[in-house]
Amino acid sequence: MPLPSHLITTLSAVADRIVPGEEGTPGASAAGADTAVQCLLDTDLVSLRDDYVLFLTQLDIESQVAFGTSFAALDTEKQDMLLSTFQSSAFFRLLVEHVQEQFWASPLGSALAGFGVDR
Amino acid sequence: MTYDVIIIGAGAGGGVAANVLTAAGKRVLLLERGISQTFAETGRDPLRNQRMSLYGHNAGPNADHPRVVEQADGSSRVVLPWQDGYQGNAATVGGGTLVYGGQAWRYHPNDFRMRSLYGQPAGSSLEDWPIGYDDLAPHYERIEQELGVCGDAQAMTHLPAYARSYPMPPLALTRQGTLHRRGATQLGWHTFPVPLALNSVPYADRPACIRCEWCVGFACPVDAKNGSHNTFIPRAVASGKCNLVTGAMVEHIVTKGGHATGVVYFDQDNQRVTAEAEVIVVAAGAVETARLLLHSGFESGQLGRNLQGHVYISANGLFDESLYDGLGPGVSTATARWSHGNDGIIGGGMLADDFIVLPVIFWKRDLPPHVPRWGLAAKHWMRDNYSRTAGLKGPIQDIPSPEARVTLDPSVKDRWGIPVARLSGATHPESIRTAQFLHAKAVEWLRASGAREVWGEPPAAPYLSGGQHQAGTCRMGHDPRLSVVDASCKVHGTDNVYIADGSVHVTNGGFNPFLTIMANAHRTAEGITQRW
Repeated sequence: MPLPSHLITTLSAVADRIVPGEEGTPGASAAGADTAVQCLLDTDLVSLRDDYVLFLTQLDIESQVAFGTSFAALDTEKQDMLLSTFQSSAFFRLLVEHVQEQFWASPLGSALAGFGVDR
Repeated sequence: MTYDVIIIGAGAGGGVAANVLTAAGKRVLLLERGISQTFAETGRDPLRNQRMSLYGHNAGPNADHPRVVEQADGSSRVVLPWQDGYQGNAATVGGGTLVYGGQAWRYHPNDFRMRSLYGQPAGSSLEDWPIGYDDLAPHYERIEQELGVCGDAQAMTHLPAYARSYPMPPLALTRQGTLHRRGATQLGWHTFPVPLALNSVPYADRPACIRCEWCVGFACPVDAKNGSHNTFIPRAVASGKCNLVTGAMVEHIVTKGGHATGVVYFDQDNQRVTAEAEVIVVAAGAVETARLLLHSGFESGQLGRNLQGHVYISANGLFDESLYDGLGPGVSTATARWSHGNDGIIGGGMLADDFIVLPVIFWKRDLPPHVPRWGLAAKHWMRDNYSRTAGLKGPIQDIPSPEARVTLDPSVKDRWGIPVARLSGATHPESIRTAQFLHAKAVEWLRASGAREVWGEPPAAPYLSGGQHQAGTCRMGHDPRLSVVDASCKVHGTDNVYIADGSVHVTNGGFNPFLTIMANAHRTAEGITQRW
């Protein structure tokens, strides 16, 4: 079962702070890492789906309380500030790894590292 | 169905045995639980391969083959083939050789006489092999020629002179190899090209390696990597005397007293099939071979014990210049300077540079500890430094422990109703001391090669080290009280059951083991044909 659409938006925003996009280089969502994690929540990571829902929901609530808007609507500085409060969360660290592994496994992420492009 | 020989397992050892036995005119049934896979079917998924299997494998085994891992506190957990502690190897036609890196090492002569050289540390089961390097040398040579290995035999000065050179020259040197050779020269360490089971030039009607960046963990897109899947097994099948049956899960070996009459297996339609033969050769890998023999009622106090593989050390260095040249497989340069003769240390190991590491694998395993795990700084570090890193790795001589073992789990069964393998114990603590010694040498080498930052820690505590290099559970020896097979690799107490995989290794050498598995399978199979 796919995540609710508002949580998909939140997940993509989180993913883009884990691997931020910049001028000329892709971030997590441009490389498809957020979508790949979503897909895993229906397959290999299905046992973590509820944890994802809980975390993303909590993140949006914290954002509303602190800044009066959803996490995805925050500027990147505030997003980083909010995510930093979860640094010690084991689940956040796991989510970080899920996004990073999809990014560096993607063709765009691999190319960014220099794999396959420097002969 | 009646055959001359039934071979269980179409990996490194089983493939060689099938080829030798069919060439001698024997009718062979070769049973493989996996399937035959092409390059396209194996794919290039960076997260699902035999190098990194976060969400599954590209070459089996699948979820039908769980195991149980017993933990230090006595609790246990069921693990799938891609989960920690499984001690897996590929399950397909060719076994690990379909997707391996193909480092084609002969063991060092001293690897066969570890107890004589170093004694037997308390609590260990360190022993000599009942055979020596000279017994295997002609079989190493045959395999190198028939499989296809590239390298420089004259440079292998840690070994007795080769009677015959490798059939192909080494691959052209990489940037990282050039760097490491320079560093080793400064240290006064002799290095040589890593012998590889791939075609550096066209060989045996197959093309030369195209030097792609993927290699280890994946099948070869041009079929230039040499394994049993594209050499020994097709030759056996082409003889018309080998019936290769895939999707065949062997339940047990049928025995009467010390004589085996055949095997019972489940075919791909899950139908139970009985096949008969005059000789049985088991080559299912150190975990599954022990499991099968235990489930078949073979009795030996040693069966399943001494499970080992290789405790590996790894160190990475950051260099000023880009070392990435995209020339796979990447591993090119090694030293055997620290394999033996190290003061106060049992054994040692070979050190070599690494295969090209996929970025995601680098991220998961090789990132320096000071790099943040998320944010721009993490991304920038990878962008700026991935291509400027080079690693050294080495397998050390595991000092085996009898408590590192395979038993049958008393409650968990697979989908065929066969008790799964239960894995317990750990390597002997001396293995860790040797690993720490070798790690220090890797760090020294990286610094001499010009690394301005070095990271990676040696293992701190013993762990179970089977993995893809699994060995030892049916060790070879003269005394049935201390071993499972005799020097001909016939199971003690039987007259027609042989083992042709790494299970029989008494110790596992300080080198990748597949060439020794193949050479010993060749010796074993030739022995069968000479006696029968």
